[in-house]
Amino acid sequence: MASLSGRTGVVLEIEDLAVEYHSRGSTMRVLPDVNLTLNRGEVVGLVGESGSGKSTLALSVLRLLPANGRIVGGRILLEGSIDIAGLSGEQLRRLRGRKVAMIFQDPLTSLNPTFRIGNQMVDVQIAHCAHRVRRADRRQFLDRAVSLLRQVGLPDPEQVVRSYPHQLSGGMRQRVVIAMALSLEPELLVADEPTSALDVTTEAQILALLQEIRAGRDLTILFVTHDLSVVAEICERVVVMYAGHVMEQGRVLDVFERPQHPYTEALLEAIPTRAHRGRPLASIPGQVPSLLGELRGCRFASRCRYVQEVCRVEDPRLVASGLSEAVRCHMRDPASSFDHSRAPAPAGVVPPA
Amino acid sequence: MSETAATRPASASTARTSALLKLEDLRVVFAGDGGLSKLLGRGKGVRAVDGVDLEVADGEVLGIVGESGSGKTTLALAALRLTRTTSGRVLFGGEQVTRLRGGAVRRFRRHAVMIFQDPHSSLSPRMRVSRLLMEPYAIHDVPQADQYSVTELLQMVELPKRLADLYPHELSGGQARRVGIARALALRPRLIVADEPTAGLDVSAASAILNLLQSLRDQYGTAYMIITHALNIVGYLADRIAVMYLGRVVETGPAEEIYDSPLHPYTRALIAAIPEMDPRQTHRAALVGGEIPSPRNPPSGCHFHPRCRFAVADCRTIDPVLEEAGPGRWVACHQWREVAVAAPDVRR
Repeated sequence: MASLSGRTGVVLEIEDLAVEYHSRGSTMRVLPDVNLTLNRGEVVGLVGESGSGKSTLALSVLRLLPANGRIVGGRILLEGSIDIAGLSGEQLRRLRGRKVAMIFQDPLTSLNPTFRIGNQMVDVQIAHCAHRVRRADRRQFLDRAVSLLRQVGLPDPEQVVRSYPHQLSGGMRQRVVIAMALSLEPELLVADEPTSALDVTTEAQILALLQEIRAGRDLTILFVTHDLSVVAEICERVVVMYAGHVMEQGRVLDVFERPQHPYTEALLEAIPTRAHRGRPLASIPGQVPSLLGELRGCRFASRCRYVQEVCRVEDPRLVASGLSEAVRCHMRDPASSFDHSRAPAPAGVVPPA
Repeated sequence: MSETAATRPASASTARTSALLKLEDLRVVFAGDGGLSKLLGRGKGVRAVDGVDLEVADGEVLGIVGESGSGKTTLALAALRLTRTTSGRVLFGGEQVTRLRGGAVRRFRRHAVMIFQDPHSSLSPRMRVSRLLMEPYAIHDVPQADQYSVTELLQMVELPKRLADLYPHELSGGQARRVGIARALALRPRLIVADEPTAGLDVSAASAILNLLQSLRDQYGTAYMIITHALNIVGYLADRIAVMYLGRVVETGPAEEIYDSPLHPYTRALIAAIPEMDPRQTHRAALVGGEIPSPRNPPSGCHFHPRCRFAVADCRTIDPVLEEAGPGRWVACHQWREVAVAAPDVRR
């Protein structure tokens, strides 16, 4: 599994990851046992509504969980050898940026408002420099910052390094943050809703940029988003999360053609397109269940249109179904006591080829 | 129900009656840097809305589309007299809104209401939902007989009754948005202006809100002005679309036509930027490079020319005006005929 030979193989392997949040004496198990594999050079979309645990999973990969969050089980294996879940503070510091970098929805969370862009980009390189930094190094780091800013498509990068974050537009800031994330040549980029706050035109530009970077550098990207249309655009594989569980995962094309999980199907239907004009959009009634206390049965059962009695009492297994790699649904599990004669055929938003 | 509850034909795009809301050469200029630079004559001011003419008919849904910085929110605020207009006129039911005084302003606010973008910041954190819903009646002295009950209002926006006793912080984003809509509906307005009604919501919650707006419009015949940067949202709801760029309307027309055959290069770029749901489709073309410039210092001539790949010499010097390109279609572009011939496929 852990092939380190050359530039192929598994970059990240998450095994039975469990994460808990503590607040006011109560414990919430946000991720019960997540498994996920990222191959080198892949863009994997991590999709779900708010409360699905997708951001918690993303933050866990860099061990950036808030103070009340804790990894309570499982492993996060980077390149088959390093278990991120067990690293010390100093080991983490060396890993972040160098092996794994992260960009956020709001680029201002990663930029210091009181320093010029150039200084901040130089500082990143100094922090990870093996030897004592000399003047000549600084100049070299600044040159590299300029070159990185040019690579992410910023016109006039010499001007940008002299600017403060507030002097740049949202799209420009996101490009700066991407350039910073690339400066230490990480293997894996975790992107948490990087285009959600941008205009459609700017979003299209940033997605095109990420595509280009991925191809040019063999970068692996974990792309967290609530927007399935973004997934359709840049991801090869998709992982759909709901209330802490992976509900379905597979190749984007397969999942969009024949979603196996009722939740995936409902999410795909809910996106307004021109074809929907005049017809009501599908929405998913109800709310994501609270993760406080004991949960029994399928977590989507209360909102599922195909629900049967078994769904409310038994936890569904994760099984391969159709062309999807894994689906957590009684309806798709031949061994389940679900009445399969009443199971509908999968219906996607894309006609099968 | 309300006095305007005329049932609308299914294809309402052509059903134009009298204008409910009319904006005439509307301008909103924000003072420049103020203070010293103003004294020194350097404050140029920001033309957030720069000479806009628009109409919303009774029961019509007008979508206003543009990137952030295009002036669409300022336009909405000016239309409802929530910000000062510099020049031009806003007419509501034939009355000039900017001239209203005292009680007349309040009557206007009863008929033309706004749903704000951030639901939480528009709901008082100290009031329970029940009181928030009744607040408009208190403000407008609505007699008991004309009031909906809290339960009725919650029902209209498909919220459970038990929410009446909650405070805003106990609501989810989608629920808070619905409470905002219910507050707007309480007064049975003739016009609702909704600023990014689905921003920040999950896909499922967003589609529920869009369905709700659609069904309320079918039921009560309310006219809407919907402000958004997401063309797929107005494509779903709107009868007509107006596209804004740096304070000006660059194209307007029936929603379907704007979608199927956009004329302005900027509209074409916006349409091309709508994501495809089919992973097999070629990736959406980032048709337009660069970003919207600062309205403090807009480019000369056609504001869009620095980003436009069809620009010719005239575009740099001469302001294009809206010209009629078909029935109900207007476009402000020197080159629209040439563009349509040179690049018939919008996505290229």
